[in-house]
Amino acid sequence: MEDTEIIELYFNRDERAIKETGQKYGGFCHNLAYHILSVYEDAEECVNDTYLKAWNTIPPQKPPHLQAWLGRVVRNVSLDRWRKNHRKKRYSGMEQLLSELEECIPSSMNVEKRVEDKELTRLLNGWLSKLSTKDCMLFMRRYWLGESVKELAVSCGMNPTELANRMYVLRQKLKKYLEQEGIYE
Amino acid sequence: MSKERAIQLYNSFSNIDDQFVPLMGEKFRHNHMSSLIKKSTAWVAAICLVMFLCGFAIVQLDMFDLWIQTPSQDPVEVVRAAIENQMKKEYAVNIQIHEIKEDESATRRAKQMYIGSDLAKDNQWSDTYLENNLLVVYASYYAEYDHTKTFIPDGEMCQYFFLLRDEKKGTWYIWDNTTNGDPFN
Repeated sequence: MEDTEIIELYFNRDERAIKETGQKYGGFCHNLAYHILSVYEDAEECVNDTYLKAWNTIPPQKPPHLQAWLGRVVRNVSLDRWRKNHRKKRYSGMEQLLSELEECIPSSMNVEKRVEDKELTRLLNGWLSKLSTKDCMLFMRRYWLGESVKELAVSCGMNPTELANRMYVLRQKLKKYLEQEGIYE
Repeated sequence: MSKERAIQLYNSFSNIDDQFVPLMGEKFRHNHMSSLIKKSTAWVAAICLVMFLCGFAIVQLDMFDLWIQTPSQDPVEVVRAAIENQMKKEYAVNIQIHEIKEDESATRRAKQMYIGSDLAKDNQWSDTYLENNLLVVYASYYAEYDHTKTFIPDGEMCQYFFLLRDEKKGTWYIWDNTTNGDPFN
């Protein structure tokens, strides 16, 4: 079913909207949540929360790109859960992602004023748009979808070491870019 | 503190522009079970494909390459053919090439960037190889794609293509390219 038709179901308050969303994007949402939380049941609950949020917010919202919108919601829901529970549970996926992303943080950013999330997103958009399609795809799949390096290497036909090095270069590139933007000075 | 910044960076990815989400591919647009089935089918298909096409050069079949390539001894022609070949794709509506030229300055910067880099080591590119066989070609063109069939961005495009030369055959092929804009910013 096309996204527009699914959204129409939400607008008509037709419960098939949830079923169709699950059928089309359930795997995508579950993967995303699982990559963050690495606990099947927790990931499943986050996906259900995402469906509930979709039901409660569409309408009035009308996402122009349903997959991206769902991804955003499931990421936020999973991140909230990670925040709540990470002292009690070992969510290895998120811990690994964060330790990698720490490498992208310019040292001045650790002590200076807080950067607005919106500003950071604007910078990320700018940086990603300058990457090659392949690099952009790799970076997004690792840090947006949270796919593991091993999975990503297999699906891209790359050697895991080669891919890990590529990701390292990209993280350094992002760090340099953030430093050059100078917003943390 | 740097962990908090990493969380903020991770969080900022949630609101990344929708255009980057489809780059991650369509593989998550289905549920878990069909994912497994499709994965197995894809493996069988891939093996058959490799067996069937084993006589072809890998560069012409690179599944991760968005371009339909025609390696040639003329690097400008390689890029021209790749862009013109976009019209062979079912989603292409119109392609108008404005300009394609070798970019000496970008080539110099690319060599500076890649010679001695981790990426060069990973790919076993010697300094001499890159010095003699890396070239950047600039292309500006207008592309129009049917967005009911693809999410690839279109409009007025300015892309830089990174070409490598096969030393044995003497032909150039596209190794990478920017999405739109200057690769060195």
